[in-house]
Amino acid sequence: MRFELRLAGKRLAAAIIILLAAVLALAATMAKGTGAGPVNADAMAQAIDAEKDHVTPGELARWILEKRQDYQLIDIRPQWQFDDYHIPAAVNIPLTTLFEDAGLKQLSREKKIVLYGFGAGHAAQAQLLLSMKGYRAYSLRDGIVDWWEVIMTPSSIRSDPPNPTGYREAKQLREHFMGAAGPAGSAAVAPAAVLPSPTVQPAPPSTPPKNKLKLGHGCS
Amino acid sequence: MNAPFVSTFSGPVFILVSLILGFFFGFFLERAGFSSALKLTSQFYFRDFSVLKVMFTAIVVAMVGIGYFAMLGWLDMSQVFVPPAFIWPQLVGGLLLGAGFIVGGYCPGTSLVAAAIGKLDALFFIGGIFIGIFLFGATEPAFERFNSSGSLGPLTLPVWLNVNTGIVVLAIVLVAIGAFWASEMSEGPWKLFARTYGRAQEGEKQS
Repeated sequence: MRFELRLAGKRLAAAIIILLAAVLALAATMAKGTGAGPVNADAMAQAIDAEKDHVTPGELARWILEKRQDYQLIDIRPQWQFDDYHIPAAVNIPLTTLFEDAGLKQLSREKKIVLYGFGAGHAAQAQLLLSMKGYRAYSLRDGIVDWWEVIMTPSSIRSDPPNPTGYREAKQLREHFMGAAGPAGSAAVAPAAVLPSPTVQPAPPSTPPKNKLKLGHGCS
Repeated sequence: MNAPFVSTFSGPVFILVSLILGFFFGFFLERAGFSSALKLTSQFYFRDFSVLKVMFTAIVVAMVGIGYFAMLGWLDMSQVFVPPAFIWPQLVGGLLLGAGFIVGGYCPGTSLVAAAIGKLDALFFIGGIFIGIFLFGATEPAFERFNSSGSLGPLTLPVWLNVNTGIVVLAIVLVAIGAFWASEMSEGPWKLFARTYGRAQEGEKQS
């Protein structure tokens, strides 16, 4: 008799935990997210203020080096600009097709979605729209211009004061991505075209690089 | 509202919270009988699956609990630390730890629990842990490339499988129930122990 009671207890415990997990699975499926629920405007505003809504070029470069699999890098520029130059590991989904079924189908709800455009604007707006749809969306800080400035430009010719400690890491990252762009690609030659004279005045990062970079215009 | 994180506490409060959590972790390990090397290694002879049952129960309860906390908005999952995955070194490390578990009779946590109640063999085991730590530390540069191989970042099952977290939770609960059932069958009706170690059981009956 006592043995039967213990058996019932085990079955009861098993049934309860399965029921609890099933409710969780059902709720998560209905929320169509990672259990994060619908977008909370206040929480999002706090994240923006704390600069937690974007990824810096340095962070992104390290993610790529570490071959992390927990994010998707999406280039929302038109295809011809993507073909000219893009960050390695990026997938091109132009903004005009991002919210069509074919575009949304390529995005994972379980991964971080990192968007970038030419500048900061379009990516940030697309990020907001994706967040409202329940995706974990981020944007690259100041777009591919910033990537070029921070990762691909040698620190000796940067406008900001030289920083001996950051120099080695910056050099390592730059050489990696110069190489990753492929020796056959035009991107590896690009820096020569971008090199301004060292005496160039500190310019705001929003200034587009020279034409030869072919990053595209007017889509910041 | 958010659940307290370790980073919420600092200084002496952090140490106090760690002490309290550690005390109860050790206490319940001991109450489960995990201060006995015999009990712990019984699992590898299909005789007593207490370790699997206790640990998997803890995992399932914590997992479902965290799932509900996240669903109700009490816990911000993006703040939860996920250790990065390095597949190859973790595979080799896991095999080494398993082999040491069978030979030594303890895993690191249970050896401390056993030492706390005065087991001599556990003290030797802990000595071995520290010798291993220093040996590894001294030779670490030789393993540097291997240690960072197979890096996948902080990868979780839902991300890897691209499946909803809730579905993964349900699947793991079902796997756990199946494992509990199989271990009870192995301890009883299937007599896996007797089949694999037949002679040893005869010896037991004589004694």
